[in-house]
Amino acid sequence: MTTFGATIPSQLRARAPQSRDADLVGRAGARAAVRLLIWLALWATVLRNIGASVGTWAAGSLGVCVTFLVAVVIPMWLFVVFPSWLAFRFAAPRGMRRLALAACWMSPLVRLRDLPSIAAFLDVVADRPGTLSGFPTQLPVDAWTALAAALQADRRRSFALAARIVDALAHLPTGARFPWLARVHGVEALVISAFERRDWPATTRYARLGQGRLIALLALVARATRGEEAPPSSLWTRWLAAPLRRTTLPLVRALAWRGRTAPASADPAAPPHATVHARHVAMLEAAARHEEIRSEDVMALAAAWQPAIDDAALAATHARALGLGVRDGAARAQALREQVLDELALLLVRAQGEQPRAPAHPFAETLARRARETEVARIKALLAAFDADRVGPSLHPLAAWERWLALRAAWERAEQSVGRAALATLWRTGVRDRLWGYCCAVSHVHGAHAAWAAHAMFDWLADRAEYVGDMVAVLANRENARIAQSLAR
Amino acid sequence: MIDADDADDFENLLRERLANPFLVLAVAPAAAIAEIERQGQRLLAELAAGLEGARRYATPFGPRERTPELVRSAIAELRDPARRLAHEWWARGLGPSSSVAA
Repeated sequence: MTTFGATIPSQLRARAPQSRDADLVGRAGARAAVRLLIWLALWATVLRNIGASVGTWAAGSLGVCVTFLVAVVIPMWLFVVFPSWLAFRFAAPRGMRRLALAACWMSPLVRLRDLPSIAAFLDVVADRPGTLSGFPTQLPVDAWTALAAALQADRRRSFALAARIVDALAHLPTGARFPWLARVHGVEALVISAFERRDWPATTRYARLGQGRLIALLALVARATRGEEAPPSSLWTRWLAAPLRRTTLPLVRALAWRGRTAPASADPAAPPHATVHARHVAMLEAAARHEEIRSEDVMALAAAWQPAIDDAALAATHARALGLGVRDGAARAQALREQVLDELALLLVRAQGEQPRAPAHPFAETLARRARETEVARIKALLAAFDADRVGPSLHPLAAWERWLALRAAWERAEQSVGRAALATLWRTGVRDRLWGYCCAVSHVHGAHAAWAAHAMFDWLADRAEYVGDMVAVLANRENARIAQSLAR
Repeated sequence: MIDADDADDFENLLRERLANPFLVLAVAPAAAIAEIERQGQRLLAELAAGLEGARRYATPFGPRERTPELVRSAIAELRDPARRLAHEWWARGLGPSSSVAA
């Protein structure tokens, strides 16, 4: 299997996706032409009426600037910006779904093919039951549906899935579409969701993806709340420029006041923890709250644990076990050490940053080995779901993409600790063919509906192949990514 | 990057650590079993009476909700010496002195 299309199931060859895509392109072209004609007719009428009424009323008394404003700037604003403003700032927040979609249809900033995805996104924003759960077969996977899935995951407290989607959107391959409106309004909904539950790390993480005045304000508020520097003048300027001023005023006022009265300190509410047990639980809490954990912090914690779980400490625990009348006290004490090491390894797997190459203390090697084993086992377990023969129309491309995101996360984490040689072995003995076949199958079964996701998946496969030195896979997957990208346009 | 299974694991581990029977019952790790039983019964009576103070217990990470089921489970855990050994070991590190006010 070296080229795109090598895994087309025989039952799907009878009606190739390309022919279906050609039909779709033809129909879409006709719809786009009708849309363009309606735009031209409508906006020509509006422009004529503005010109006629203002011209008659002013009777040649207007200056150059006012004429330019009335004849060029306002019509341009009405044509380019107003429809999307109407859709996302007026209609969608008031639950007027049809008006929002009609306004999107009128907006030159929205592609016709994005409308079903925007409709799905608006349904998720409005919390309509059943949205995305049934995965309508005609719904493509693109930036809008990905953001809808992230928002839904965030609201359902599936923060890991939301984080994976956001990470994938932040690292899209060159040329992958991420419309400006999605960056502004799609990401804004996601940022607001995290902001409303006062999840400042998630707010900051999501905000990195987007653009817009409200996103900039909420990102600054989140940073200021976490103790980073935020000058009151910046806060007030961004607040003035952003929408939702009444909602954000109390928080901005409090932060600006704090900024004036006292220098920001890093997380002043968090008490320092005196014992290693408390530090350990604090790190578990940070992991449970999806905060970033650094590998060096986990290693420092492991070093701090050492005197508490070394042989002398275990002997003391054994003595206490005898005092309590516990049978097999030595094994019980040893089990406590194993439990701590297992939890530290779990934390290390979850941590960001490369693991130290040279072990600083005796536990470090044990921990690093356990973390590596956990990561490889996780990749192997995830790989079981990537069966090309089971990819059929019932597996929605969005679900297929989310499945790939889990493997991508596990693999990229393994890259930080497992090492190139071990990953190369893993790649050649199972990952490459299985994942490659899966991506080809998804692409062929769903065609243009999965092209955006397929582009990202093939590009990632090519990058991974390059990392492990598999040049055949690099070339083939770069070509696959190029074909998928052209389908997604 | 965060993994869904990880997050669930960490939440379960955190809940397990903060539901340490010694924290739930607010007794010292060295407390005798009779004292533990007495404290458990007192807390159950207070919870049944709806006393506000009994509904929460202190942990180094802020107060947590205390329920009759949690109290009964804590007493049962501490009756088993092997389980008590593990809870005692964690409780010695998570007691009142484990966090220092800022």
